[in-house]
Amino acid sequence: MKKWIITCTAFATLLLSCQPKPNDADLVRNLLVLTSNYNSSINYSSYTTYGLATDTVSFFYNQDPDPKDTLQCSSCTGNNNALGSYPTTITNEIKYKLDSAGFKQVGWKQNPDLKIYVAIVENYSLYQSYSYYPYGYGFGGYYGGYGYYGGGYIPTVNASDQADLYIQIYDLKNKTGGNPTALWGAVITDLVTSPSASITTRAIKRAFDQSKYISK
Amino acid sequence: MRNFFAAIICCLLVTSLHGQYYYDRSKNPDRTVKQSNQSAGRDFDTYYSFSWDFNTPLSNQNFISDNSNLGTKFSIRKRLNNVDGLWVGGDLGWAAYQQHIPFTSYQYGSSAVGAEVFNYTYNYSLTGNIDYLLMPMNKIFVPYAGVGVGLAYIKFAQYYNIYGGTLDSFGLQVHPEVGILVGFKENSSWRIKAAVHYDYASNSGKLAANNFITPGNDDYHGFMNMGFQIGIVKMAW
Repeated sequence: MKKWIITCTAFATLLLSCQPKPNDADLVRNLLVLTSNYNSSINYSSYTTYGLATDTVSFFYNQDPDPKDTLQCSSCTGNNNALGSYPTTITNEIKYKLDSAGFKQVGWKQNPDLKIYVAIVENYSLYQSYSYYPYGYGFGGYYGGYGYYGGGYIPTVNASDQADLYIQIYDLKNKTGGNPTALWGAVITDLVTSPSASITTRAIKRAFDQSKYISK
Repeated sequence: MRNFFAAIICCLLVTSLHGQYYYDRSKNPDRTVKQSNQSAGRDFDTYYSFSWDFNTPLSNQNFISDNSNLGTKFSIRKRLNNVDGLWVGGDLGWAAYQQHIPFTSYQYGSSAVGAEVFNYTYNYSLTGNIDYLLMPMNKIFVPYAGVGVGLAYIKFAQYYNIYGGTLDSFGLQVHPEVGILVGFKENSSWRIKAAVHYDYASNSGKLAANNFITPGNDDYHGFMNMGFQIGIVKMAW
């Protein structure tokens, strides 16, 4: 009987340790893409033009030596060029998808109907209420207001350094309380473990592909 | 007349000698007559088996539908009695199921999640079993049918990009099984076991509420499975 108990215990211990998992390379082959249509009644065909700061993104980094200066552009120098040509890679793909959807990019002085805001947030907790709304109030944390993760349980994040790309579309024609109205948001993560430009552009493409309603 | 008395004395002597023979034999354990179904050799009344288990999930296929070849089962059986071929014991089983879902977008109302997802379930079971052998154990081919009832523990896991989550579930399991033990010779101490089994466990998991990405926010309801196992058996007594 003692022998049987020892055998079973050893066998059970061995089995409990046998829990295969995917390897890291497979996990970061594709980014996680979350999109939210903040106002499902919006008819995107009523918009024609958009404004997008080409080659430029906002960058919020918890170890930024100059946290007040969030500008990152491909043609900038010094601290404003920490991301190299990455801003161009991102904005070019966004422009391509919006142009393909029938919208036309215009300058800021030409009163575009929509504003496209692009930001990268690195090493701020994904689940803290980080306000990335540039007009004074935020959507809160949890993937930018994405309701699916609004519950009490939060998935484990297996990374010590994490960066997320936020793309947001604002309505400049129909303002709310004098501020642009948020129409759509996408969160793409994690840029640190998958730094490849092609993986990022593929994720941006998928963000728009899973939001077919953004179309003229 | 003398011949008659001589014959009677001879009969009494022979009867007395027979009685002495049976009396002595009862004291000799080597000559004890066993009421076993063994015809010759060792009287095995216990066996241990270790099997490789191949499984096909029959339920919750939105979460995992791929076959699993990662499974093992350790079993022990002891003969309940030596007449009717009933053997009782237990199974300790493990199986891992995995499913890779290429990048897919899932719609949830006005929101959507796109991810390449890796789903896993790690299944553990501990059952009490009773088997009925259709042939005596000393034969080369010993088919059997049995059923096991016990506990099942399932750990659900999902991984995508740098994220992951797990969920534990306990339930009751029943698994009928039919199989065959094949000896290398008559009354062999080592045998091959082959069996097919069906499993049902009452485990469930609120996957959507625990942020698993599933189509249509599906939850996990009841584990059903068909499996085939093949393994090695060591007889003992």
